Amino acid sequence: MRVTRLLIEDFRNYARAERTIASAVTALVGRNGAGKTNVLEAIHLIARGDSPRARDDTELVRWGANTARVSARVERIDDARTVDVVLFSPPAGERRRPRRYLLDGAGKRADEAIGELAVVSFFPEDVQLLAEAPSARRRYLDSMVAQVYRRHRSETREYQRILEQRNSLLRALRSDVRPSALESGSAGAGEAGPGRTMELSFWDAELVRLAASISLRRLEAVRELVAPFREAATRFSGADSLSLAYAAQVEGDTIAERATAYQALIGQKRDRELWQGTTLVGPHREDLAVSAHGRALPTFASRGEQRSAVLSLKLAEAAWIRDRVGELPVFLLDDVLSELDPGRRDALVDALPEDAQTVLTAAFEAGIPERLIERADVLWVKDGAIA
Amino acid sequence: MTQVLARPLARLIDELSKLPGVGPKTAQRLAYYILRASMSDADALASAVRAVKTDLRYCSTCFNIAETDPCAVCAADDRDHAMVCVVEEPLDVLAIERTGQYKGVYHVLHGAISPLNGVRPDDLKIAPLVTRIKGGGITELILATNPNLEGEATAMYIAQALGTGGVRVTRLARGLPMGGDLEYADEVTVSRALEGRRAL
Ligand SMILES: Nc1ncnc2c1ncn2[C@@H]1O[C@H](COP(=O)(O)OP(=O)(O)O)[C@@H](O)[C@H]1O
Ligand SMILES: [Mg+2]
Ligand SMILES: [Zn+2]
Repeated sequence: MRVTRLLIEDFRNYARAERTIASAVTALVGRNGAGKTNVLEAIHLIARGDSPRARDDTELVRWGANTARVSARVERIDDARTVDVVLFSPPAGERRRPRRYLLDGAGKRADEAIGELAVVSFFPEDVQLLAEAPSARRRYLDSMVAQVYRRHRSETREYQRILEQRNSLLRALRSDVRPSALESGSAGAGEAGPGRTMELSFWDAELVRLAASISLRRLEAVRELVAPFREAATRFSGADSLSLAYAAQVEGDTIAERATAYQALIGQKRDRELWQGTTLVGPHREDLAVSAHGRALPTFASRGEQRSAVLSLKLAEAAWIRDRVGELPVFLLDDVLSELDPGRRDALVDALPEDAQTVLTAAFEAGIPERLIERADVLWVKDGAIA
Repeated sequence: MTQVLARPLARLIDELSKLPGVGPKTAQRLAYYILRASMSDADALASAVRAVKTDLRYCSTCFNIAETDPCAVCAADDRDHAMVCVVEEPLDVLAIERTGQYKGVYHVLHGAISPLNGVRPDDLKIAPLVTRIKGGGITELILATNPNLEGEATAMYIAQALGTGGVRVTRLARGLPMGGDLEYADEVTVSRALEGRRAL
């Protein structure tokens, strides 16, 4: 899978840039603040629908502009398509417009356009992944799974909306003193009376349905990551004791089994949920657990060990995507090479598949290993222009 | 600071910009248009605005907005009063009437369940619907709430609140795009959804 052409307009510090992208290695070289990472960010946006560092689209639109566009020609084994994402940053006081997505020039829904391209990215902030709060790892896992199963993206979004509604309802029920107009016998605040159960039942059912499907996909993906992760970790740091698991609230290898288990758990936690006014059951409470010698990694690992574990995870992710999609993803490497010691840098270069497309950034050409630079197209980036 | 904009004009712009879909720029354009319009046009607008507040009421049977109580639909003999179509908003009634296919009557909920926006079942006309059905004479209920999360939640709640007593409860078919709004669907789509309604 490859990006053969990239066009960015009013995106970050680019007014307009259009490039054909080499099929092997592209090295974006330039001083800090030139706009190298912005190019990787644009490719990431096309592939996964989000930016690894911007929380809001208004950050991505060039200052002073109202509309940004990223357009990429994506070639796969059996087809080639052009994917466009148009972002809006409304002038002060105006209402914001939703993004637009196009496939070969025709307007599409997000989940039709996003996912045409698969990438695996290494950004400097990824080093934190294993030390951060579980929410970061869930986001990572969901983003990875969605590269293979497009439905996962829409399901996780829907799940988020259901959680918000359900949490609001639990909070409202907690402070509820008025009995429902349809409720004959009235339960006290915080108790699950018949009216309350009825109000919750739709949200319970939706929560269970999506929880089962989301968590099963995550579980299966993590299981399939274990072997390539071990292999990469051994190659990287000789740490053959590292392991990976999906820490779930329930068991079950089918959607039906997991749904039954989540439903039962909701029953058990009903009073606590009403008491706390928040949803305690579901994949938003689960985690991707990395361990060494059976202990959670963050408790002892140095920054270098963390970095190795994350790189191993990402290499495993690439192998997983290749196995599932049937094509290698595009590798996006942001400043990683300069941050690794020579041994690990060589190990990473070794691990990058020869036939994968790689787009990397570096402040100096000299910082790029010989074996990459000799087959790289070097592009000089300066003040939002690519030479 | 000097008052550059004459106060009455500023007030009109202010009021107009409170309308949904009207930003400050549009409000200005509308205000200047009204300023230049004839006195009779301006009067007609003002009195139309006043009339919707003074001359309208809710039908005490179906809760649609009407000039009379009961409304024209509830009072008509050529409609099937045993079939009730439940919608979120008065505009949804218009969408279904536009198909020219539906011969039953309506029940307007005035919203959909959305705890996030503080809308609970008791904030909607659900309890009066249950009473209306318990009163007898109704054999079929079509739940035509919007095909989005809130609309589904509302439909499920109503189906549960009614239990399994006598009335046939159906839901509009999936001809409607999920996440869409009934109000904006074209007649053909609404007709098809109406024909293919499914039991709940
Ligand atoms: N929305 C924006 N509009 C214009 N410039 C931006 C915007 N967001 C970031 N920038 C600029 O982009 C530059 C950072 O680009 P980046 O790709 O991170 O640099 P680097 O080459 O170091 O990776 C900074 O100069 C920053 O001021
Ligand atoms: Mg950078
Ligand atoms: Zn009426």
